[in-house]
Amino acid sequence: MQYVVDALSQGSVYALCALGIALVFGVMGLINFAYGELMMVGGFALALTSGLPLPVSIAVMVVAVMLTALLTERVGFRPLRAADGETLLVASFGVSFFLQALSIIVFGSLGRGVSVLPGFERGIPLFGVTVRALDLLAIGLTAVLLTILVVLLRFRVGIEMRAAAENIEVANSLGISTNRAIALAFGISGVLAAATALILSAQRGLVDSTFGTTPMLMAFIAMSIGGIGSLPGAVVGGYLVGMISTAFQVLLPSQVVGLRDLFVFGLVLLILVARPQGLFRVRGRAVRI
Amino acid sequence: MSTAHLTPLSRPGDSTATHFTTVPALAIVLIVIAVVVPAVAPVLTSTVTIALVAVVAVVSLQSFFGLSGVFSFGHVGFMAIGAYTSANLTIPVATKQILFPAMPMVELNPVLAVIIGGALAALVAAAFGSLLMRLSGLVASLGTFAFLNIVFNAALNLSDLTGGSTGVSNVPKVVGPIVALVWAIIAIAVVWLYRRSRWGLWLQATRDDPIAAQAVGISVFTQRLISFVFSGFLSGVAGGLYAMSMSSFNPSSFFMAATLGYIAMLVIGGRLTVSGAVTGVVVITVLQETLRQVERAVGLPGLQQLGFAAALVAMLIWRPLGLLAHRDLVIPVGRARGTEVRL
Repeated sequence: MQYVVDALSQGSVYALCALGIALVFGVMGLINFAYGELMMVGGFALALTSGLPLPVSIAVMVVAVMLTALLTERVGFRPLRAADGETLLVASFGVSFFLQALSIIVFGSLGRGVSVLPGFERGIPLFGVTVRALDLLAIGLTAVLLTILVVLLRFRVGIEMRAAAENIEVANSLGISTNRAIALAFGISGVLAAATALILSAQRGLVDSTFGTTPMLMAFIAMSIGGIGSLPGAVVGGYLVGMISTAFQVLLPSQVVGLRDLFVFGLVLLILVARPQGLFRVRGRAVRI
Repeated sequence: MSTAHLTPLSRPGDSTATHFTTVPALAIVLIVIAVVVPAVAPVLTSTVTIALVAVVAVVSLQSFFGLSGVFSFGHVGFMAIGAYTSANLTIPVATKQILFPAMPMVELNPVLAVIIGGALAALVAAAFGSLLMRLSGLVASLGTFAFLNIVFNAALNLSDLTGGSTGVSNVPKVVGPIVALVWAIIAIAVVWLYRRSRWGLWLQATRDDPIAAQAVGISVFTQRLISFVFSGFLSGVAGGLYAMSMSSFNPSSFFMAATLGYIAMLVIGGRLTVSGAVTGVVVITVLQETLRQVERAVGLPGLQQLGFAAALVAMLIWRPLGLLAHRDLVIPVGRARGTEVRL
C-alpha cells in the first residue's frame, strides 16, 4: 500500500511535468528543456516569500513561473518559430543553462532552503497503513489540475489550442491567432510547472540550480513512452515511469539500488523498441507522403 | 530572419562538397596555434591542450549531429567511457594498489589505452544506437539525453572503477599541446574523409530529405547507426585524451556543463562542416578565457555558462547555421577561390 502511494505520488509529479512539456510541444514542436528551470524559479519564489502567508506565497510563485515561461517564449523561442525540432531543442537547452547560470549568480551554487507546507510531513492513517500527507496532496493536486485541463480543452480556448497544435496554417486561416495559442500553452505549462514546484519544494526542502533536472528527465522519458505530442500519453507515461522507478527502488538489492535509474532507462528503451511511436500514437504527426 | 530555416540545409552542390585543401588548411591553423601560443604565453599551454582535445570532441559531434541532423547529448557520455577506460589502463600499478585497489592491475601504452577507450565507446554506441536510431529524430535525441544520465549515474556508482563522486586522479599527464595537435589533425582528416565518403553523403541525404533518401534505397537507420558508432569512437578517443591531459577528473567533468560547452562550440562555429567545428572551438575558447578573467575580476561564478548559453541562443536566432554555415576553410589553389567551394 505504501509503495502504491509512493508510485502514485511520484507518478503524479512526472505526469504533471510531462503534460506541461507535451502541451508546448503540441503547439510549437518544441521540447522545452527549460521546463526544469521553470520549476526552479517556482522553488526560489517559494523560498523568498516564505515569510508571507501561504496563499500569498503560492500566488506570487505561480505568477513568477508564468511570467518566466512567457518571457522565455517571447525572447528565446518566438524568433525560432519556423525552425525545426532539433534546433528548438538545442535552443531550449541554451535557455535552460542560461537560467541555471543566472540562479547561480543570484543565489549561489548552494541554493536556498525552503520550508513550505510543513504540516504535510506527518503521516495519515489510511486503510490500515500510514501514508504521508504530502503524497496524498501530490496525487490530489494532480487529479484536480488534470480535471480542470480536460474541461478547459473542451471550451473555445482549448479547441483553438488543439487546432493550433494539429495544423498551425489551417488554424491561422480560420482566424486563430498563433501567438495567442502558443502564449496560452506556455501559460498553462507554467501553471503546471508551478504546481510541480510546490510539491517538489515541500518534498525536498532545498532549491538549487539543478532543482528541476531529474523530474524533467523523467518527464522526457514519460513523453517518449506515452507517444511524443500526445497529452493522454504524457500523463499515462508519467504514472508508468513513477511506477517503474518505485518498483525498482523496492525490488533491487541494496548494493545496486544506486543504479536504479539505469534500470529504469533500460526498461524504457525496451518499451520504445517494441513500440517506437510510443503507447499513444498521434494522428496529426504521422508522416504523410 | 527565420526564412533560413525553411530552405534545405544543402544548396545543390555545396553543402556536401569538399575540397582537398581543407584538412591541410585546418592543420596549418592548428599547428600555428599549438606552437605559437604556448611559446608566447606559457600560462595558456594547458588551455591550448584542452582546446585541441575539444577539437577531437567537437569534430566527432559534427560527424553525427552535423551530418545526420539528429541532436545527440550522448557524445559526452562516450567521452566519459573513453576517459575512465584510459584511466583504468594507464594509472601506474603502484598508485592503483594504494588508491584504486579494484582497478585492473595493468599499465598500458597511452596510445593503446586511448584506442581501447575509443573502441569501448564505439561498442556501447553500437549497442545503444541499434536501439535508439530506430526512433524518430527527436525521440532519439531524448534517448541520448537518457544515455548521458545513465553514464553519469554509472560513473557515480561504480566506484571501484571510477572513484565515485571524487573521481580518479594520477592519470599520467602525457598529453600536451603537440600530442593533442596530432590527434586533432587525425580526427579532422578522418571526419573529412567520412563526410565525402559514400556513407557520409548518404547520411547527409537522410538529413536533407529523409523521404527522398529512403525512396532511393538509403536506410536512415543504418546510416545514422554507422555515424553514431563512428563518432562514438572518436568521442571515446577525445575522452581518453582529456583524461591524460587533465590527470584527474570526476563524473561532473562529463555532464551537462561539458555538453553545453561542446554544443556551443559546434553550433556557433557551424555544424555543417568540419571547419565550422574547428572555428567554434577557437572562438569559444577565446570567449571562455575572457569570461574566466572577468569572472575572477568581478567574482561572479556562473558568468561563463551564462555567456555560453546566451551566445548559443543568440546564434541560433540570428545565424542558425553558425559562423561558417556551408563554408569550409580551403587553401586557394586551382579552381577554389576564397573560402567557399563549389564543385
